[in-house]
Amino acid sequence: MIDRTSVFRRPFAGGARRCALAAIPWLLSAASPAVAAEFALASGDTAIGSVTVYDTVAGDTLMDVARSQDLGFTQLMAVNRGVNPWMPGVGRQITLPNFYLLPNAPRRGIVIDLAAERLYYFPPDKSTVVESYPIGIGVLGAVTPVGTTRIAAKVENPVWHPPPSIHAERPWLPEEIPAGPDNPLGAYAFRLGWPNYLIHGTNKPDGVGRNVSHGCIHLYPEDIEKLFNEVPVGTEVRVVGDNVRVAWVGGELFVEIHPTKEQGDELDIEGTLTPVRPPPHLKARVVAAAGDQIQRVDWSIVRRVADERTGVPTQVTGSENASRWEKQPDKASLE
Amino acid sequence: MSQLKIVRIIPIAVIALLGLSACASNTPPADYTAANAKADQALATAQHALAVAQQAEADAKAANQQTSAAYQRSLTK
Repeated sequence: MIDRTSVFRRPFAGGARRCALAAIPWLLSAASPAVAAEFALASGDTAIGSVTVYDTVAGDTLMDVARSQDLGFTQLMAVNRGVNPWMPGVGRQITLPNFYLLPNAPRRGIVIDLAAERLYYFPPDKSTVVESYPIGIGVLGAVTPVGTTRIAAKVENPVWHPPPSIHAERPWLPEEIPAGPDNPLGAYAFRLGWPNYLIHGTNKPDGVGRNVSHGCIHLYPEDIEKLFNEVPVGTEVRVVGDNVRVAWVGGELFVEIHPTKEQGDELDIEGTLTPVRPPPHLKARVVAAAGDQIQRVDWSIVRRVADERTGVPTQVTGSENASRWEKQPDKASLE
Repeated sequence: MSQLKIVRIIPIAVIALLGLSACASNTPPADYTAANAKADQALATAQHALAVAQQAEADAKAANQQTSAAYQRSLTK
């Protein structure tokens, strides 16, 4: 288990109402209620949600915990390293990282955040709400395109026609797989303006939050059903892939860095994360976001966030003159 | 995992009891040699049990990773 006090620094009060309140459940068990998909959102908010804790009970696996809390599996492993996903034990405290800096994208329609492996939906009739769901994405080498498209069609009980690329890997697959328990598209699918890419459900929910598709986006069955009933054809879909977020929350600067795709696979299989080079231009981005508050940035925390890549927003400013960049012997490592 | 802990704890408890009994008894000093031999034997047994447990833990970890890797592959669409 990661030392929480060193990794997560909760938002302070003042301007971040929900995040300040969100600190309260930190000490509480999440127990059984599933996490709501909807988060309150004011126009100036840069973050949603909170970090909470769940105490495991007999028979739990981390896959069960992820689904019940509407989290992705890799996302959960990133902050619970060393926990056996199959047998976490009874009474083990599992950190639930349901706290996000919103991706840098217009707040309309659907925004798919490939790095965080989450989908955001901004309902046009509810400007004070954003919905957020975990998603499964493509395996290494099967990348979902980044850019903007639209929902072209909605299909209930879709039939799956495995594309040639999948047939090449698994020639035994039939030409089409009808709706039902063997259909990997699940019960609902959105066709996009991009041919061959779908947002759909799944018959293997444990794949949500992992790199397991050929580029499609898939959600838990209960999440795709909710989304299917809300999102109209024509809705804008924007796919972004930036691993880094830097934003002010309640007067403090937060940095959120997600694992690379390779690190995600390592987390899923081995439960570990081998550090890699910091994301490009990280220092410049923090400097730009900090502005005239740059002296408050604690670069040792920025460096640790870059190493650990928990995907959880971490406060990097202190109330005093915290900038120690010039004292770091290997300052070039964050360039 | 708790079973592994038990495997580690039992031999240590045996050693402690042997040590206590040796100290608390009225055994003449000359007979401490026999008690020491028993303690050494218990220690060797405990060390062996610890090595077995560590190997079992390593095997379990490897098996766990193999399971996770296979499961990950099974989830691929």
